[in-house]
Amino acid sequence: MLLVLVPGSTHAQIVVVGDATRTYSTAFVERLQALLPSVTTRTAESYQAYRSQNVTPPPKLFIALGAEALRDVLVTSRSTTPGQSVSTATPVLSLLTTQDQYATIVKTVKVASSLGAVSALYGDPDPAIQLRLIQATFRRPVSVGVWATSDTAPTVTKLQTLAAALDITLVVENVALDGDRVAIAEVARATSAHIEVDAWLALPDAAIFNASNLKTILLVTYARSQPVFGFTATMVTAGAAASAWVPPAMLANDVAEMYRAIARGAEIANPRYSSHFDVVVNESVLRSLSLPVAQTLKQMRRAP
Amino acid sequence: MIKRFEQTALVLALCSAASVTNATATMDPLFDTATDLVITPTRLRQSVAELPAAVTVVTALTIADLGLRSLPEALRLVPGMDVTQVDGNDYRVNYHGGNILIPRRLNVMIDGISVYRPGLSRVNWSAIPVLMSDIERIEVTRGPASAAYGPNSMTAVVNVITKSARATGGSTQISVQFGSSNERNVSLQHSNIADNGLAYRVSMQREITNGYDAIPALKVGHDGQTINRGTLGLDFTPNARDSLGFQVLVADGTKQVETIDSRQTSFPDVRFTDVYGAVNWRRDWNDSLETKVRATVLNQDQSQGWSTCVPMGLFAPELGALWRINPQLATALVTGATPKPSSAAEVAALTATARAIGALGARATQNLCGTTGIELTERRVDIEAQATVVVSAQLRGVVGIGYRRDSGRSDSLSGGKDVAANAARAFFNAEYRPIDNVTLNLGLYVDRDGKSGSEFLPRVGANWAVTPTQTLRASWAVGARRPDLQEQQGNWSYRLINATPAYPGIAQPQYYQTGVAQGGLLPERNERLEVGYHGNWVPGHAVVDVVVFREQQRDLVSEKLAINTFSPTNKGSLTTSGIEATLDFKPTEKLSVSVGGALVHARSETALELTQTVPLSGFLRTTYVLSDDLRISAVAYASNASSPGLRSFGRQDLSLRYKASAFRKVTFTGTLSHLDNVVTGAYQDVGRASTSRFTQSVRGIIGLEVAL
Repeated sequence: MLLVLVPGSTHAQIVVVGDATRTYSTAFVERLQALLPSVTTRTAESYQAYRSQNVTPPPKLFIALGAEALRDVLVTSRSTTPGQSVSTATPVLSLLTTQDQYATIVKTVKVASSLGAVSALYGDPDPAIQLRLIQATFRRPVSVGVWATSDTAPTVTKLQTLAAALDITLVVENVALDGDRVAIAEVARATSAHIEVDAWLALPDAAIFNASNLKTILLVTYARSQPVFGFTATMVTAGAAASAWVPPAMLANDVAEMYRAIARGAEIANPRYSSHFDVVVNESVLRSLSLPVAQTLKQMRRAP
Repeated sequence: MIKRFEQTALVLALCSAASVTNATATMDPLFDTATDLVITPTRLRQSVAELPAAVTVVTALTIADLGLRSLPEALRLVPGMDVTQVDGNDYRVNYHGGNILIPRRLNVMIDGISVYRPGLSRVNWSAIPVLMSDIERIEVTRGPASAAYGPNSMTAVVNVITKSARATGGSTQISVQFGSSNERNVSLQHSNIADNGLAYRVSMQREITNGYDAIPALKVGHDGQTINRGTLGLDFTPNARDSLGFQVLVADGTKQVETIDSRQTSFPDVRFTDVYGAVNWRRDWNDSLETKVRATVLNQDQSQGWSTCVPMGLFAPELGALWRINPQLATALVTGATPKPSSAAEVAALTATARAIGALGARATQNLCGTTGIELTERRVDIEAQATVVVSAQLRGVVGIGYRRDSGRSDSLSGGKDVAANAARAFFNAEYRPIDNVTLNLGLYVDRDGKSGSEFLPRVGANWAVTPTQTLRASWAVGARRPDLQEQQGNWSYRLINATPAYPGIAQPQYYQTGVAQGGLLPERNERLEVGYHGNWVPGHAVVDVVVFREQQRDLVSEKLAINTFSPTNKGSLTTSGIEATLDFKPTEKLSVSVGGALVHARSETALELTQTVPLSGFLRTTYVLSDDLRISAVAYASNASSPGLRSFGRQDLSLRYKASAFRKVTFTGTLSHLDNVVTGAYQDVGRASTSRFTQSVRGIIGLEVAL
């Protein structure tokens, strides 16, 4: 059950800003409450909604759910409202935001002096783990293709370093944006240009991976026996081969650990990927592609 | 026929992943759009390890790396496939040998459209209506597969899957090639996906080859060909459940032919236009039920004309009548031997013939010159509906019905009359997994036509995964080929057009020899039993496939079909047994190696069925990726021949593909080949073999591809 904002509470508090009504978010908050029973976990749709309630004492931690909420917290907190009591040391933890989104936001939005340090547990799967999943799937030297736009350039750079270390051949195909989307014709062209790759790694980029493009991408690559390693469980449901992902309970576990450290007076940890993750596997797709490794991949999960 | 249940077949799911994911999908933190199951259980293909047959896949990458320029050349990478290029435009392809004169026991399909000719049971190998660069992959099912691929899938099935319009997206490519013997090739390919979801792909090619430098009777080869190919594919998905496809394939051109008639005064070149069309509708009713309806039509027009000069007496109608009563009498009369009639009718016919030839006087031996030839139109209309059903996580299947009408018309081969055969069919394939590591496959194909009766063609297979990466399989399958329109209903004759001088009273005199089919032929049958092993060795570094087989072909129509010996029977038979193996090895990301081969023992009481016997054949290929821009491949093929006239074959190719760094959209290609034997030989007739030869053992081709 979610708590609503209650002005005048004296307990230690965590304020969760963003849309907490989605299934994932609800499950996360409930689990966090269970892990931190002595801490009041409050939710607010926006930073403005939180502020208008004049909550005291100041929370120990702001959690921003998603890129929009992170931007909201960082931008809105810069304006001062008489009567607000915002601790100058309240750190902000970004969740459900990809590494690239997070980097872009903290780079472009000036963090208000009223806030403490800003950190993140990235919402996308760790590229290193994704590459290891692919490696474990093929169990041989492998060539991996990546569709890239300017939005995912930092992750692609990181992938290139990781791939070199893992002896994986990484093929980066830059696709051109048409407005804020990549046309499916362009994605198909890029895919068709690399029949030599063993698999494709999907990076979280809504310009490429959206509802209108996903079907064609999955069908085309499947027909070519090139499994796609997705970045979410939904993609695996739809037909991607596998993906690492962080279930809400695991995410809550990591956040609870961070909170306890903050409560003990430590600085908020640096931005990073969640230390725990699960692996979701589409056994049917892997099996049909003569890749009977579902159990091996599932065993790569890292549970608390 | 819609391809089903094989490599790319549409089968069902073992839906464990789906069950995991439905719960997680609604909890997705990053992809919040509702997403349908795309790779539905009905779309899932069977893994190689679970197939009830030995399958070889030649991918687009292999075709590009090795610079393969024709479908028969790609089939040299299939263990047990015997490929003989008799002349520049005439490939003879048989699986496990057989009759080299008219190989016709393989079914060849392009995106579900059979290019097996209805009238003459042949495949126009050198003019397959698809560009090699349009091919996504070639799947070859080695063994009978009627239950999965329909009629005439008797010894093996070559299933060509082309790149879909949706798969290639927005791209345009122009390529040119120049090679030895003045080989030239230019092509244009373009595809795109419109905003309304309509995807289209169009390809055009003009290919000119000059064939061998010398063929049997000529010092200069007259065995080249000029082919224009055009393909159009449309793909439209009006909603999430339906998809519509439309495809047109066209091949048009000229094949040079050296000789067909010992008295010819011009080359009997063949002019042909083959047009194939297909419309298909696919609907996903839900994750467990998918239906497909496909209609295909083909029209093949062939025209082969030549000038000839023949003694006027051989056009006497009375001589033709005598031939029809007793060919030996007519032959004796023509060759100057003493005819020996044995009935009053024969005596009467002989007398009438002698009187007619006598009336011609000296003109009987004077040459009558004119043009003759073979005009032939072959047509097929085929419609098929099928449903893919997922019954449970253990059982899935495909069931369908179809109707086919083969028809043809030829002045010279069918007496100017329309001939046709109609056949209705039903089929099913089921995959059942009683326990996790055992897969049972059961298929049955039933069809019936009015000429050769009913056929029941089963396929049964069991695959046991001894470990997750090593599988043993055993299967038994029966395939058949229905006698074609010519064998069953042929009426073979030649008329002389524009005869000079004119034959008295006849505008278009008919040559005395004719051939009329007696009908009643049974389908040829092939029964195959195989035991196979498929395994991943050195976790993932090597994939091994071994199969031991025994095949019994019976009721074979083995006779050489010629106008003077047109008497097809079902007396032929062939038994083959042996072993085939392939190993694909990838020790590093940059290096891949494949080796494959076949050891085949063939036995037959029918000499013609041993005319393409290749006891031992194989290939070794490797590709090395020197850089992102440069790939180098080498392949060696070898086969030893043990048939009369057939020569052993050996060739080594070195190919490269180089993407120019400065011009990322430009790719240079090249292939250098060495032939162990510049002469290709093949059985032609009793005591006679054809021998085609290149003058040099080293040949090459270079090309340029530009992506716009």
